[in-house]
Amino acid sequence: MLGLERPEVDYREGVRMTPRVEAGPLAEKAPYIDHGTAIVDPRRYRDPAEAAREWEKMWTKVWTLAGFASDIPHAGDWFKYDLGPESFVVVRGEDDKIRAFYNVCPHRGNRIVRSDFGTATDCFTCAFHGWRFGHDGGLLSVKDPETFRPEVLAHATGLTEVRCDMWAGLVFVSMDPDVVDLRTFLGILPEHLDAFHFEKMRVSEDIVYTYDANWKTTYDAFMEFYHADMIHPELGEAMETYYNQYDLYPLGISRMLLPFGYAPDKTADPSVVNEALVQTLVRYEGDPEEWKHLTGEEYAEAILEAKRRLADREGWDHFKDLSDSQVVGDWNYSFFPNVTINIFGEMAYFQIFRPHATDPMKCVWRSVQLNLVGRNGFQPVLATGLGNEQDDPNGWDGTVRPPIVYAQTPEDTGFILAQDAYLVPPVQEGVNSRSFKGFILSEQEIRIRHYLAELDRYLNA
Amino acid sequence: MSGDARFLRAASATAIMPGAFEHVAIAGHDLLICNVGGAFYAIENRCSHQKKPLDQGRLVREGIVCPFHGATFDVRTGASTGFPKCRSIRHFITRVVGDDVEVALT
Repeated sequence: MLGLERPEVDYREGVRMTPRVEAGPLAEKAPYIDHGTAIVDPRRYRDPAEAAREWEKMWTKVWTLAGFASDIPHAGDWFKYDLGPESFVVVRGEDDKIRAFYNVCPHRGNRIVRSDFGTATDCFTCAFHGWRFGHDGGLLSVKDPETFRPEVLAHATGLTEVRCDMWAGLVFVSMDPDVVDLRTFLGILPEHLDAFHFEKMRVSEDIVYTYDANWKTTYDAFMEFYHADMIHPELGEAMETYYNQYDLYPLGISRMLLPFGYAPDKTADPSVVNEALVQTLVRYEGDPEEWKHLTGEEYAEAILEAKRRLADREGWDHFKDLSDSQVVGDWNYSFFPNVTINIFGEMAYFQIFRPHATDPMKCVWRSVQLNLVGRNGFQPVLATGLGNEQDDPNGWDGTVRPPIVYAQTPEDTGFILAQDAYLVPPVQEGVNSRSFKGFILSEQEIRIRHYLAELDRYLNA
Repeated sequence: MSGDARFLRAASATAIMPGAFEHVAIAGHDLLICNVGGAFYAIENRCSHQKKPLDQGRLVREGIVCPFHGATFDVRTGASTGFPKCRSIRHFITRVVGDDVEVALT
């Protein structure tokens, strides 16, 4: 493509991240995991029976990311978490412990909470008949108990608790009481990602959009950057779309390291400092005049230095523990079964891909952007703003929790993400075609095979 | 006649950060003064569902969630926005004069 000469690729080595900046020991290439060469059967992306099997054998057995501890800072604060046909309420108790319960009143099944966030001052009160439950889920009172026959009232219980645990300010739940402990489930992630300190970040943007596609079809589009040249040409001005490193780890975890901040060799003239690079530098409060001696290929040096200086001004002390690549690049991890995180040093962009409650041909995509709070109010570059940035003149201090925005159109998800939102549903239509034989995957798309293999481990258990 | 006489000082604008609200009692009214992205709105501190106070509730942008039974209201209009569906709550016109948030009480 584009007539570029490329070196021969050894698929066991893959493409290592191009060494524009110091990558650090965590950038070491992971040992190759061979998932074979089979065509991926498209039935698993369209068969309702497969979706039902996934629900019973996988979704109800794993930990999934439910939300963020910073969203429930005080006793009684809660958030609602929906996964497929289930809903949970996650609440911080007086003992500061975070617990999660099925969002179901044991009386008649009403949802205990219906908003995304709230505070239950002393207890939860079901708005159907007024049964009351403590923050620990215990049943506090039944309205008009004398009107129940004792044998019936004996069935009255508290809310049904599910497993709940935290890592780095992220709250996970599992419906399986016998699930492995969260640390085990997360594999290499704490070792690789603790240095970014997600727990110090706050939500700057939160968007939900319902895709007309299976959750895996949607997830797959975010598991590789092979599609970037065709779908996101704007990103290719300042972001590597070929020399990206794809790594697989045990437990379905994987990553792609996407170098950022310079003109890749496929731009019209990589020596030129293009507008995307200048804009990026300015966003990080750098001065283009200072870096006029650099070419476009060398420009990551300028953006890196701008970000390190910004970190000093904003008080992000832990940046000293991040490699240059971690500061300026896109360290893009995924953890099983349904989360990707683009990490750009001061920002972590979570995407969560959930099955729809009733329709396997739909999924509920949620993007949550977290940013470090700086002492000078550094304004996050919001995902929805990419390509049409608009600053809030008041700056940002992370204290105002933005509401979850329920996007109605692809455009509501922002310029770049709308490109994906337009892309995916017709892909699903093609996958549904009787003519389609299955995915023919390159080594740039190896992460898809990897999480599917982990999914198979659950389905075949 | 300007009509200014109806406005009473309710709060300090700089004391209520965006995303926060302040519970005030003024001229016999129990009010919440809410800062939504720098604009101030005043609602009565009384949920129309079970007549409970809203001041321990959660404000997320323009929506406030009753801490008792989860009724939700748009603080800009007082409108009930979800389950349990109930009547609108009273809201009052505000203006900012200097550092004062003033509320038009009738």
